[in-house]
Amino acid sequence: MAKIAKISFWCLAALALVISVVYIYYHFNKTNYTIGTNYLGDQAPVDLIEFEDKLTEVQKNEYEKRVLFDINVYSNSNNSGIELNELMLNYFTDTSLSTSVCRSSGIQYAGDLVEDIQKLDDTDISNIQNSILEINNKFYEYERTQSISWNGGKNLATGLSRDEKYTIKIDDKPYQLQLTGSYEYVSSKFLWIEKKETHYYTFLEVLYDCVQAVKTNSKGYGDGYIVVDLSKYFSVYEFNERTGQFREQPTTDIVKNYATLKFHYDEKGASMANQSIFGIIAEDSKYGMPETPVDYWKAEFNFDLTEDDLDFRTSEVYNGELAFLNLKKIELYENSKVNITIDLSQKAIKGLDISAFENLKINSLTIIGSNQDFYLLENSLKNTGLMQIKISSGVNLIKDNCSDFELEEVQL
Amino acid sequence: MNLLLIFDDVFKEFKNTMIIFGIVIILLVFLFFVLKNDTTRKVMLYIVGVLVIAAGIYSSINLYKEVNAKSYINGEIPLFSQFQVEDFSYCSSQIVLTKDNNGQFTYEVDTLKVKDFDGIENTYKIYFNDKNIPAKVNAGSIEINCKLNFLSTENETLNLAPLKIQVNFLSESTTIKIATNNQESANYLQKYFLVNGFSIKAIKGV
Repeated sequence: MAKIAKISFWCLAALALVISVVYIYYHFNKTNYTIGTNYLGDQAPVDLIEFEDKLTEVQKNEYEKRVLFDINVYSNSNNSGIELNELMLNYFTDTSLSTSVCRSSGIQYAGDLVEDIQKLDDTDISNIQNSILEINNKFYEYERTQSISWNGGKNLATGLSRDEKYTIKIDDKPYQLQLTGSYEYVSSKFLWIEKKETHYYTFLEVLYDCVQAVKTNSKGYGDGYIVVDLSKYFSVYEFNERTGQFREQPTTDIVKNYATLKFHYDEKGASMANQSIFGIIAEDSKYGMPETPVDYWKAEFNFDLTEDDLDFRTSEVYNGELAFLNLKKIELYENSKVNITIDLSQKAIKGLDISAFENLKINSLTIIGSNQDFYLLENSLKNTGLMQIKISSGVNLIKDNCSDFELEEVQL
Repeated sequence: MNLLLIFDDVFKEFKNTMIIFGIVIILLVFLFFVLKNDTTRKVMLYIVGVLVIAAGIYSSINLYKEVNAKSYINGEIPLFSQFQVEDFSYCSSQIVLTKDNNGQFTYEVDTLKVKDFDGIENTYKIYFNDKNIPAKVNAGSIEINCKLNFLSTENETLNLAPLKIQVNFLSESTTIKIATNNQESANYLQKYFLVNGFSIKAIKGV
């Protein structure tokens, strides 16, 4: 029995040796190779359509055009504020990929990131230490959910960290993303013996590279999208719906992770908190706001109309044109107030047609002319809220079958 | 550092793993010949055997993975819709009006090119912050001129801010300019954009 076990053991070892040799031969001599490509693009929640009616256009846009990374760069080329560099990673807090579990974490560098990072190449240790302090003082972290951002410190924040795996969406399925990238470098050398150390990439380095990409984009300042290769930085894990577990992606010789960056690149410097994608600069949500803040109850649209904005009907009875606004135009001014100025010298305008401005909210009506009659026909100013009409001297206002409202005439 | 990273460090590359196995096996074989004690030599031999089996298991797993590996593509990047859009729509919550050289308070931005905007051939409905509003639509531009009347809680005008929005559809991009004419109006508009954001949209053929 012991002999059989011994023989089996050595047979197994011999087989293992053969397999190892075959594997080594196959691995180093194979000519075909495989590529796994992940496109990390749109991160719009899968159930957004259910909420569309409840969101404003701006909120809807924030969800609809959600991509993996938002980059915000205020270059301060015209010295109008400070340089601001921001990166925001948009992800989900669970595999439902729904609107309610959208979350973003990001970092902000309130200074010249490229110049400050380059200072770390200094040979003087004390200079490097000062530079690190300076970088830390300009570096901030934020979280964002449902359009509100905050700094959660160490305990309330998810943050951007190498230890975190972020649930993202690819092809409407959950995946996870983790910053796992690193590289080896020679830290010291004795004779021919090199001591190697591993450098683990940080999100500040991701920001640095992304800012460089945005600053060198051929389109220049403005808003846009670029697709960057983040294979060096990130690993992607896929979700097995059957087991409910995340696992490494199938083995391939090369893995490429391409991600969409939505960027805003501005010539100006950041001078106000709302220029930040987090709405906060240096942990101050009132950054750059007026010292005496303004506030209001309601904002109402006002439009100034002249005879050029009106429609006209030729009337043989009045021997000229009668002004009115068609229903489509009146709908456009719904919930707005209008100021109308009609210059009678511009056209042969004889008055306002029947129901000309009915239901239009009029703030003021001014008639400018000289030695002319101006007719107000039936219902022409009905339900307009107009209390007075301003007329220049020489204009004679005639109410024709128009007795359903009281108007005060004011001479200009 | 989590376990995965430790695994990554040690067995990062196949080469490193095989080198470790190789060195250990060579060392044990060397000891096998150097040591005189039979029991120790047997133990060494069995350890080598176990290591060879472990290497075989590792190799067979990786051989299986490599032989069965297939290229894959996950996801897509809708390039066209991002670089050139069919309908014009722009949203931002980062509007800041700053004083320009002409003394006006403005915000300007270059955004994506809009495909086939034609104000002569087509009609457009213009929406500003979800409100369909009157606008002058030219061949390749949109112009909105209005005033925002900011009312107090007593329904009195606090500020009547003139607001001009100019959108130009150019060959490579679309430029948007928002302007008002004084600091106080800029402050009120700033507050309005802070609360409501800024969105403008042109819908064709209505």
